[in-house]
Amino acid sequence: MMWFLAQEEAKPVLGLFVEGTIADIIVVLLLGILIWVMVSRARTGRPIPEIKKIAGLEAIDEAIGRATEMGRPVTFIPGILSVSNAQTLAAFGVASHVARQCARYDTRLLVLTCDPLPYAVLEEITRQSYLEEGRPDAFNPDDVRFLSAEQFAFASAVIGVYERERPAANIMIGAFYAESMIFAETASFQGMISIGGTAHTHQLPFFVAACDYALIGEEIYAASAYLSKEPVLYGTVVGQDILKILVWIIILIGGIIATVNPETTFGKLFEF
Amino acid sequence: MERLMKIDRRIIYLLGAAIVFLTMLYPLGLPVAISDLARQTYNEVENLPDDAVVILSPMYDSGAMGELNPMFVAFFRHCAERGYKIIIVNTQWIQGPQIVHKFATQIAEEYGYVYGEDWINLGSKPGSTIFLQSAVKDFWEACIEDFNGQPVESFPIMQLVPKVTAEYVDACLVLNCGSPGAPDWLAYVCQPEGIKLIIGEIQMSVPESMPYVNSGQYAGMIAGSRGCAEYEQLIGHPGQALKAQDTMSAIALMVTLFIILGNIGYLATRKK
Amino acid sequence: MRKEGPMIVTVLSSLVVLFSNYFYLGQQWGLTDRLDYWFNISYGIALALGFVNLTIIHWKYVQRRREGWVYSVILLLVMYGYLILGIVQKHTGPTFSWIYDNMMTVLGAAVFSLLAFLISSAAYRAFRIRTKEATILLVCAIFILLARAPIGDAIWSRWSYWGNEWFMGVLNTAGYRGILIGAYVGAFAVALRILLGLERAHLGGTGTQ
Repeated sequence: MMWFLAQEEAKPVLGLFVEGTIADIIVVLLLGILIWVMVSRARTGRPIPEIKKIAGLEAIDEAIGRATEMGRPVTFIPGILSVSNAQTLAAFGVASHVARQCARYDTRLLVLTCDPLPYAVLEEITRQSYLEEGRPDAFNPDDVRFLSAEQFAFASAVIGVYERERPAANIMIGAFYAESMIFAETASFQGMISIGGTAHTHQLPFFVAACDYALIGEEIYAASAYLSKEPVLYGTVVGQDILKILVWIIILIGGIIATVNPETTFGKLFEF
Repeated sequence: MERLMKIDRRIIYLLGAAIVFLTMLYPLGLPVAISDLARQTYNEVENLPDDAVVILSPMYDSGAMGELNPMFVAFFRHCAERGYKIIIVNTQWIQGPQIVHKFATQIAEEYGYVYGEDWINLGSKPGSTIFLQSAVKDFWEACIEDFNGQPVESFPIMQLVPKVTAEYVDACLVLNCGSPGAPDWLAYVCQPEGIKLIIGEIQMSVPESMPYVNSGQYAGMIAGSRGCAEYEQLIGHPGQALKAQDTMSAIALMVTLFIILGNIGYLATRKK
Repeated sequence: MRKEGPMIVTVLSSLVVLFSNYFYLGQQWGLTDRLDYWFNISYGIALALGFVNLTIIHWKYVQRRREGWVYSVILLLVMYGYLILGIVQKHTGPTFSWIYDNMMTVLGAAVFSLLAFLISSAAYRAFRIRTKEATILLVCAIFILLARAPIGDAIWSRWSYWGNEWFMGVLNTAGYRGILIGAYVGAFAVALRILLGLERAHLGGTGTQ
């Protein structure tokens, strides 16, 4: 039955491609080429543009340092969606860095997840990070927890952890919904330093208002490159920024054309 | 003056709770002006063909029901007044159809609507975007049974909709509070099939949905509780949303006053 | 092979999805739908993994009589009890539905309602005239707060018009479009990084190649 459901009448373009996807393919290829060029430059030691200072990411080490001094744990929450979401994947990059730092400074790290798949991945990330820092004994699998798959049950469980464990630093990077405000404000009551980042625009105001540092939208996707300081990953961020500049140029041209000629078919150029 | 900066948050909470109770007991009766967006949304629903079939999708759970239940009631009532056939179905939000079923049953009785002929509740279907894609190809196969476990083919209303396409469905009314939600309906059903999409959105996500309204991808939108209050006035049936507006006004005023007080304290302290 | 194996699976799956979406032959074979079904199945297995994890952790708390161990007992009883009830009665069973409608639904709404109070205290604490940007944020926040409630129109009849039609419809939409474009390009780049094998954080360890 799945087979029959899956089939649909597609019209091939150039005998190969699905109708209406040529523009998508061009964009994918373009970004791939940009990334490849920048990565090649990075690998051969040629200069590539730096990423601007992002206060929220700089503050991660400061937050972990604060927790170490106070002898209290750090909590990390990778959002509430599963691994199929790009923000959760971005959170893994940050989790890796946080786990390494906590292993290095012998600070307890609590990883709280709302989905069993990120839980499995984060347990492995944390374990591997501790191993790479030469502290496999310090890793406690009980500190990586799957609390609940239900949004507000997870929220209640997290604020319970805040109350009992009294962390000093709270890092929330990933896809959040309404529970983000509950975490951020409760963390503030507890006197924790909070760093929040999400690409969900409807939660950004809450992070900006309630967290000490906020990462807005694409900053979380650059986090992995920024924290690792790997030139190769820097190159990928530069590649994506060049694509963004191209998008701006197209928007500007389209906006001018549409203002001069409202009946324009400029948009049709991108629908083939 | 310093105390103005450090008002105990429990005072804010107690005052907020008191205001909510008092405004519920003694409404202020402030008029609610009707916006162009609410009028546009009303007209879109009003101007559907007399024999229209609409899909009403409560894509929410208990967290958002305070804001979205009145929207469901308003949409259902408007459709029932116009004599449209109503199909209630959603995906992934298990609680949605359960929460709305009793409201739908009550309103259906008022208008003499017969279950299975004039309206039906198909319940929540798993699969998210897979369900939406399957519904476009074969709605019966995608749904299988209704809310009570009866096969969908046994209901006369379902004979009208073998597939979710513009040929059989006139509009999708989606009550949105997260993911999956209205953007998925837009991407997988409404835009490819050319079906009108009208949404009800929670207040915090209204800014995110405005670009879709401005571009015409959402034919209309009930924007939060205020938008629902406007809609209730337009359909001539004041409901929960309209009653809540006095409370909203009082709380908004309270928060504004606290912000001002906090800033007075801050500025006075800074001068010292 | 520990990292290379998952890497190979990731890249192959990504290529299959690309092939299925962009190539006519891939669409005919319906590969993406099959992968989506497999994802749902693996998610179900992962849910069982989460279930086991919860059991192990809370059973340890009970055994060690850790502080709050009584709540762990309650959690285990409710978790297994509801699971058995769901298997016996199915989701349409009377007791199962009653618990869901009168406990789960209500508890979810109660926790969500905390937001109203937390937003109030956050607004009071955070909206201070510290810098130019903070002042702009403060003014916009108050303007929109009153525009979304009838009290704004009671103060000035055009408040909701300017707040909703212009602020939200024009100014806010422009800002959101910018953030959304940036976020989507960023997500696209993350996906491409994983496809090209440049990003390995999800495989455990340092996350770099």
